[in-house]
Amino acid sequence: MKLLLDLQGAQSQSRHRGIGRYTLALTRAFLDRAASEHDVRLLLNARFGDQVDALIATLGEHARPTHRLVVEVPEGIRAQPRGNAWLRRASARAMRRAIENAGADIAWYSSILEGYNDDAVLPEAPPAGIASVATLYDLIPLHDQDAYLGHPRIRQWYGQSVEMLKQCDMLLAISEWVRQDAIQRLQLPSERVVNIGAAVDDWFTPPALDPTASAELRSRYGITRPYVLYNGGFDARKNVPALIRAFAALPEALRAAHQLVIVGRASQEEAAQLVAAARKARLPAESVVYTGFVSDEELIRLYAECALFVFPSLLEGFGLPPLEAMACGAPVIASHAASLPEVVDKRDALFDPQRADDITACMSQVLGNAHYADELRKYGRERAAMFSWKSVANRALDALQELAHRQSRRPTVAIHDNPLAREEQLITDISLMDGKPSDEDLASVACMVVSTRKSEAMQRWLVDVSSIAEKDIHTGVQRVVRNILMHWFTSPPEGVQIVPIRFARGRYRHARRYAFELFDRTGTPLPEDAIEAINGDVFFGLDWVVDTIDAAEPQLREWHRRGASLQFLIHDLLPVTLPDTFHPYARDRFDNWLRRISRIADRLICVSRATRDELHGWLTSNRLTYQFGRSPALAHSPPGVDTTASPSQIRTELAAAMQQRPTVLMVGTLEPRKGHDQALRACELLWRSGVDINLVIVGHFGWLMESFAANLAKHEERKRRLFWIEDADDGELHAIYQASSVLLAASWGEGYGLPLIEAARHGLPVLARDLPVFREVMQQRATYFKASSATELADALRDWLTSPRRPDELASATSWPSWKQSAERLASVIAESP
Amino acid sequence: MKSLLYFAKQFLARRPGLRRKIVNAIYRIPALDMRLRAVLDQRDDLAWRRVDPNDLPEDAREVYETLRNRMKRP
Repeated sequence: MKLLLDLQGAQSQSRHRGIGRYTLALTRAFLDRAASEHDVRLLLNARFGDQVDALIATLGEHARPTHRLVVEVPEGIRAQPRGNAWLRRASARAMRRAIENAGADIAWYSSILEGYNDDAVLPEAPPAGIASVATLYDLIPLHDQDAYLGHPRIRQWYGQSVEMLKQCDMLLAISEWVRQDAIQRLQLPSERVVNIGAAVDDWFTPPALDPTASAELRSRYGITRPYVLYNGGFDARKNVPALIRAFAALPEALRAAHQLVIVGRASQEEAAQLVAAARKARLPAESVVYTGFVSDEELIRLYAECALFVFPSLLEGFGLPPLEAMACGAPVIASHAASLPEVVDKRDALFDPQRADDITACMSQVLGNAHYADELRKYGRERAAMFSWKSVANRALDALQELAHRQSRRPTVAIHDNPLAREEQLITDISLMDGKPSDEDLASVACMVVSTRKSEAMQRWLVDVSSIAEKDIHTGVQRVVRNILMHWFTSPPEGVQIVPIRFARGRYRHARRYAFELFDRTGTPLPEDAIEAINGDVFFGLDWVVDTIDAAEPQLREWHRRGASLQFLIHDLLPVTLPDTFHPYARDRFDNWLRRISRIADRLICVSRATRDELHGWLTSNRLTYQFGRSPALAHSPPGVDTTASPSQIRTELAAAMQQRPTVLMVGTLEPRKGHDQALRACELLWRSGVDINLVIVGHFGWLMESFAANLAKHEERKRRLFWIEDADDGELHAIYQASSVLLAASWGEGYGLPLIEAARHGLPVLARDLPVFREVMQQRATYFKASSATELADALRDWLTSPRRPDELASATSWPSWKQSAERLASVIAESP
Repeated sequence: MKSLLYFAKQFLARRPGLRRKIVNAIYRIPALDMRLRAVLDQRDDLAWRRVDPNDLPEDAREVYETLRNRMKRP
């Protein structure tokens, strides 16, 4: 059986009410029970983004991308206020098509009565070719239409929803009373309505004895005596004023010995009615306590410690509060109306809610008889234990299986099987609807229609190149972006379409101009249209997009909800591991970027194992709030190495110096973490002690090195034994590698270490600081030193120069991955299921 | 102001020497530094959420145009 479960009842405003709690609890139990035998998919409304995230986090694997359908719903389709009739109808029609497209045997709506004051949307009619099932909580508004359906718009909205209920193939009622009520009021055949019941959540159990917590709770709400408790709503059917009158009519000794504690969020009007009822009953002010909303933790303690719980409701679909109270060990009495006898199921614990004297008598019986109260407590816990979500889920599954069996024996109705034909029919239906939609309405509906399409056969990898597409300034990161993208374009991973995208003008778009430039194409590229991800796409943050992440994150979160996998490449963590070597602003920007991508990513891919380990430590120590409650998977994939350029001439004065004496070479941008200052001081010590060497620094000026650069410019050894080459091209660098004696890698931290590989490939020995990342990249092909001071580094250099060690296994060109191999390795990591 | 700064940033990206001198000068005036960065960081987070009929993804634009053309019919 393939089942599509619509979870809007746990997303909309209903999530704050019993419907939301019921939906979530039953869904959890049902998925645990049924997901191994049946194909259960979840339908979610993208308009409630945070609730989608919470549900995915709560339901875990059951809500994995292949098992969720997140529908993009237009904004402003609620029934209240008016003026959006066309958009509401078009959305309902598009929702029907989305459900038909899912190809399920049964669609199960967690709540049909949705969309009055939020943007939940149900199909306007049962989808074709699929059995429709709805959970039915009650039809109480039909019992008192003046009270509940007074406003014409509510009446119309409720009427449409009831029509949908009538057309469902099966209703799952939460009590026998609701079932009978539906059969009678909707005139349905009895086999179409099944009672699956309800249950109480596991955490409603008697709390551990804690005198301090009890005293604090009582003190917070002004509870000074044993108390009679009520918890629930305050509309007329809840009959709370009758409870106040009944409490006031207790024998004086009992009443004076107790307080009445009323729990629940009351509107101002409702609160005023309660106060008036208490005043009319001449109750002293301190004998009635109104707590307002309380947390579950407080409610459980209030239930457990009350002298009596009273539930006088006149109409109730199930009656969760009395069941919760029983589960927590409270003695419970309730009205004999509607579903409550099913819950309490004890004749002497039931009263006539229309007669205050009967309520009073029932209360007196418990409050005046401790033995009877204990008996009710014991009974209540035994009774509550009979209501479990597992049982409810089992009954729901039995009913659904029976329905699926019946459906399979029905003659097949001819429907459009082709999604394109269904979409064509949908567009025709919508275009024939009465009304004058605005262009924005049409565009919103078009987006909804597209969001319900099935995934393409070929998976798309949306590769973020926002920064390099804006301006390629040939940074190390951009070299990675250029090379990986070039190789993915020329030999794409199997079954994958590579789509470069960039964030511009408020949203992601195709980066077609950059793709043109990458291949030196001429002509006019296609426009850079907006792009949206669909379920099954992969978003890959190949570029380092620190400038756009703040604005892009909401869209990425939305793509993630829809079922796109989000993966990012991380080149290093240096601004957080070596914060003092970066400008505070750059450090904060990096920290912000890293936090944002970590919260939403499915996988973070580092360029080295060492960086991956650092990232693991950083994630462990920075407890982030992840979008779906799960930290990202971590992986690593090394970058490639450029093919060696042909050597060119070294500038004259440097060439002469390199011929005269051994040369220590440093390659890398001038920035604090590279260890240039320690290396220069070490060389100064060596020069003073008579060691005749050159120190050659090749690299652009970076940041926070102004005084060092000034020192270089006026150094007495400048252009004699000390050289800073800011503008070496690849050919000259190649020649310098060849003419040097050793590469000194004095850096205090690196993401990878490309200069070490380049040096090794030129046959140049490498003297490197003992960092995990250098050990990982070079293994036995370098000599390592630990030097916390310039003197120690001078000693290490002197040792090396005295007896130069050329590691036996000098690198060949194949020792490190080429860009082609790097691109293939990265693609295989991305393609793995996170 | 923001777009002016944006183009200045792009212009300086191609001139690292000049950029360094300007950045170093601005660092020494924290109030100006913060002000300029605040302007550059201004974002319109929800721009992508608004449905703009003139800036739709290709698939959605096709459906939109089909719907609009059909609804124009007498």
